[in-house]
Amino acid sequence: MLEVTGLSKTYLLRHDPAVDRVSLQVGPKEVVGLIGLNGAGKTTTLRIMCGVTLPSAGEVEVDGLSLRHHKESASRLIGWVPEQPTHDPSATLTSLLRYYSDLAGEVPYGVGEGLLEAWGLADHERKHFRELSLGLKRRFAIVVASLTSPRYYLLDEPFNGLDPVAMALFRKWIVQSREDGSGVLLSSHNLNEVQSLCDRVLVIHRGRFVSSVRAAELARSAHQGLTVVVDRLDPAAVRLLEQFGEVSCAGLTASIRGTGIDPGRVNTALVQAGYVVRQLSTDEGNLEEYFLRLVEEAT
Amino acid sequence: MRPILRETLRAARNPAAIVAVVLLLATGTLTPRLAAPEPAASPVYYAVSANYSGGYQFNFLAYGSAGNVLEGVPISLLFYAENYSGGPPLKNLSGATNSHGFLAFDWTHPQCRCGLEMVVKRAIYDYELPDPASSILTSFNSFVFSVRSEGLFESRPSQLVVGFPDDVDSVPSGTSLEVCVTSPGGTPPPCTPRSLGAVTELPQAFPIRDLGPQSDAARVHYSLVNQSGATIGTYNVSYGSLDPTDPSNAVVTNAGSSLQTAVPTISFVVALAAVLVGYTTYGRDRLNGSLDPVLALPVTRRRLILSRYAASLAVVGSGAAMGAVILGLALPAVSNTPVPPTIWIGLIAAFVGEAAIFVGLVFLAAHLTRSGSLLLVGLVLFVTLLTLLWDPLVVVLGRSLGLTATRSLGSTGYLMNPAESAVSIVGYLAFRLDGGRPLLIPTLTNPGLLSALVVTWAVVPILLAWVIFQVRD
Repeated sequence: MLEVTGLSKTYLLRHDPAVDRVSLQVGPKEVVGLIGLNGAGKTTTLRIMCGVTLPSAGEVEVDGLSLRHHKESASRLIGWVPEQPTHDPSATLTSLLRYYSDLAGEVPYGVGEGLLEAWGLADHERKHFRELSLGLKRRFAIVVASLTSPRYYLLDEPFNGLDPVAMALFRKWIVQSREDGSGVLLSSHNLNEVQSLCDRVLVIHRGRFVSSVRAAELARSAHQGLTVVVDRLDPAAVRLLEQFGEVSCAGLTASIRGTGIDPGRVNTALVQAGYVVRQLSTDEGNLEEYFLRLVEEAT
Repeated sequence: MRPILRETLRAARNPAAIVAVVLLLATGTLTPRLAAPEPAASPVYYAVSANYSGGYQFNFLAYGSAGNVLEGVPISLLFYAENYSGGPPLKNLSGATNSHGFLAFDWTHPQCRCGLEMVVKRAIYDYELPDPASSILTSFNSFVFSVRSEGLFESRPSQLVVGFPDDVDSVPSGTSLEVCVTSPGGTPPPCTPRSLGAVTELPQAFPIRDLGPQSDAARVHYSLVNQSGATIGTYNVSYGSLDPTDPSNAVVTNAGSSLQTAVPTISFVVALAAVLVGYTTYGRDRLNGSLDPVLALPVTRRRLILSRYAASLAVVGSGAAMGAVILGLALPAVSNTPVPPTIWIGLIAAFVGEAAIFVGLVFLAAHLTRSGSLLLVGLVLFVTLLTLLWDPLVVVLGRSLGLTATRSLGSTGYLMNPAESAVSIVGYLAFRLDGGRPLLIPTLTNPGLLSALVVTWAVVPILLAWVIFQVRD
């Protein structure tokens, strides 16, 4: 279990804490999302959890090992992938990997080589780090994070700036990591990615923990809008749809607004009443609205 | 050892480290060639002769060993023979350069020009007149050479202190002081005495700057006169003029003094190399975030900072040591005498000490700023200030605080300067090699204190950097 208790961080010469008494847990075989507005404290939380930044207060424990008191052992269990991977820009991937492998406790270089191969970086190993694209840099960051075969991964905005192929690769890797028994804490602005990948979502706002929601619950809460296109939109159809929420019509299209709308139930009701459902879609923006509502409540 | 070795290999592969080491080797090779050849067997004198021939005009003559001065540095000497008689024959060395084996300055308007000259040649240090009768530079060192004159630097005797004659227990009421001023080598009294006022206590200081065109002359005769006009005692005080041709005042140059030509140059390069290597090994990584992925690995902060410190030190120290060895190989080309092993050991120790100091300062500075370019530029300026501009700064600062530019101020300056404290080890050893001449700065005569200074300067910055890194980051 990766466990954070009462984590706070106030930067020098800053009055307000960047992170204020945050506690959270990430278990094995679990993908947890961490969402929040810019400056909410997501990155700081992850940086503290991997030992890059020192906390002002609080504890980080990995499988019972305190990061503060057993840094070397604890860090072996954590892999960190920053949003903007930064390494010596003039060093080649090979030299960086040799150095990190040695630092990570004499990990055989073959391990790193295998990871480079797996992440499609074998052809780039002689390149200087500065020559890589953001996507390749991010892949290299995963290679470095994976050197010690950690049990937990901390991913900071892993989908930012990636092309669709890279995003699919990362998504697949996250799912595979969970299946392999790893725990993943993932901060992201991409709420749909969070929703599709995470078992739980934690909301952080202004450095404070706001709420923890299970993915299924999130989906239920988030789907406040449904758009239906039927073969005929008569008053009976409207009355039927009004059972699920507030309805507005335009031609053969009806938009339903409400909380916890189940698209399956709407579809069944329409079909049983003799209507032909030509299209049924949830509103993509609703997750954001839900998130904003949580933030507003917290504010 | 393994982390240190790993970091050292990494640091040594860094292009900046390679540049730094090449710079050190080049400096070791080239510096002796810049030094003037030592005169084969002719003794070189060092002494000061001063005379005041009117107003604030002050002519100053100093002889220095040839090995102390870089070849080609234009140094002119304008020696006034006006009102001079009875002394040894004087040379007019106007327009001379150090190739003649003499170091001399002409300060006809010392209030402005000398300050700049001194900065350029780094030829400032301690000259004072604790006892007006011995206005001799007790020693001087190539680039550490000084006279304080009117203006920025205080050299002229500014006051006459009347003390207790052996046979006078108290000051009779109505006692006054009369002085008679003559030019150096001039006719002794009788002359027209001038009264400086009543003597009410002993010792008592009287300003003597405003005695007229002949004031501050080389000889002042003063008398204490009581109320009835009877002279209590007559005293003669002489300024200046130690005969530079007197063999007893001679200093024979040797490799030690030549070596000192190289030391300040190499010291500057060592400090620059330390900044460069310390910055690329730690400072840059810390400021651009390259240290972050390392911190996320199974590495403690203590291990990281100390191993990188040791690695930087190993790279710069090795470069400096190699530079010193090359210097040793190149020195015979310009020197007639061998340098004892003690000096070489001291030289290497001093450069390694200096590297330790500056690497530590870079590590500390990296925790006090957020801008890499600001850090680098600031450190280079800092190094220049400490190695090249320190002495004038101390004097100017001291005077602005109302302090007299004295040896104690100079000592304080050394205590405050990490670069000087390390290199002063070499100065100490070189002076010892020169036959035990007294050092200008009293602090420097104590090797224990010197070592303590260097160790303190080396340990405190890296310790602070470590503590900051450990508790607040």
